[in-house]
Amino acid sequence: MMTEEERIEWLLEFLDEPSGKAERQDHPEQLTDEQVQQILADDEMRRLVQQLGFAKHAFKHDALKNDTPDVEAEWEQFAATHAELLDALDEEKPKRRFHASLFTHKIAASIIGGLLASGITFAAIHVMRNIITSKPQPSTTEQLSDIKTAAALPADTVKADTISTRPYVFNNVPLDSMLTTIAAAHGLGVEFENEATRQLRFHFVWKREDSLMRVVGKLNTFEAVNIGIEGKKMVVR
Amino acid sequence: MTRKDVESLFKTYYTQMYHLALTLLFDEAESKDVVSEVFASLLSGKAAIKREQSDAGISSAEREQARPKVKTMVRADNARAFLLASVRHRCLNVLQHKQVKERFARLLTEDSDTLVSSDTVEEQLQMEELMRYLQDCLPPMSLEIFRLRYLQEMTCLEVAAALNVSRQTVHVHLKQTVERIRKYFATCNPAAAQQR
Repeated sequence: MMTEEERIEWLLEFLDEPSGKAERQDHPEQLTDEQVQQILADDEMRRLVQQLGFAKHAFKHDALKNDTPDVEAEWEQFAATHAELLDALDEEKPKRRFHASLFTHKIAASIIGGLLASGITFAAIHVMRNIITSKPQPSTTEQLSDIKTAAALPADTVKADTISTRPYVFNNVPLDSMLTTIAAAHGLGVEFENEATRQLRFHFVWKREDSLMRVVGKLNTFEAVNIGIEGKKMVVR
Repeated sequence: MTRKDVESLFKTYYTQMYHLALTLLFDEAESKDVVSEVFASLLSGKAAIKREQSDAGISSAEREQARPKVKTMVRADNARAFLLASVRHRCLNVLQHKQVKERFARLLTEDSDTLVSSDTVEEQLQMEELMRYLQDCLPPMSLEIFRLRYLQEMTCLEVAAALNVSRQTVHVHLKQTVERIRKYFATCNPAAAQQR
């Protein structure tokens, strides 16, 4: 068992004479890895080697203050050696830019879509406003238009508009057909006490927003007609 | 990652990486190779440093598609730690591939559990503390002899010739320095002594 001093002495001598100059058979360069591992199996010897190794690192670390590499030159050398890989990196950029531009285009498309949707909504509101504002317009305009259209129709045709607020024009229509239509709209039936009046033909503009009594009153302005309301039916006398 | 990113990382961290490699390998050529290999691994896609700003707006799937070979993704703010850890790892690999007897003869320690701690800053502080201790208690001649013998890897005879002293003088100075190192670990830094 070596003392501390003997261990240091032995190690200093043992590590001297590096490769190529070693004549001694027990120099590390002449030993096998297994023989070195046997030496380091001694805890104190292994600790001594590790501490000397750390001191060597410390000396090197201290010496680095005066060892500043030429980074620019090293980069130029690295860039030249790895030019192909570096160029490949730059080739990836357009792909990424494409992704990025695709993303921005998606945003732009979304905004445009939103604007379009807003525009459609605005247009729809605008149209609805026009429709609403058109309602209070004088019905005479519509009426004249319908009258002109109805004039081209056969005499027995009843021109019915699908829009309930528009005037309904009966042009040369038998009283029978005209009253049946108006009565049905009010949930009434029609009864002719005077059958002679059934085939009388009239030109009448029916404003459906008018009350039943007002409509009946307008019809009674005709001299040949006397219409009354009795219960659930219109009675033509 | 673009060429400019790699260039920026290279120029920012090269010196630190090179110094770390030198501290572990004591060989300039090997150290430069190690640093170069770390950056080459970035180029080949074995590792990547994530750029938060430039990748904004690109989904992870798109990023993965753009670089399918990426094995390690590192946040940009951890780039320094990642690069230094990569250097350390490669240095240990280099040391482990050396023959045991070479490591022993050159006092190279590849044992990551003892010599090389995981915290570079702590390790640097320990090294600086040891140097201050030795500079305080040893003559400049002893420090210079130790430097020539172990850093320059000169024989005792070569050191003696360089300093125009006898081989026995070199031996005495070396023995004195080793004893101080042992004393430092035994008294001044017993915790480190246990690790080493």
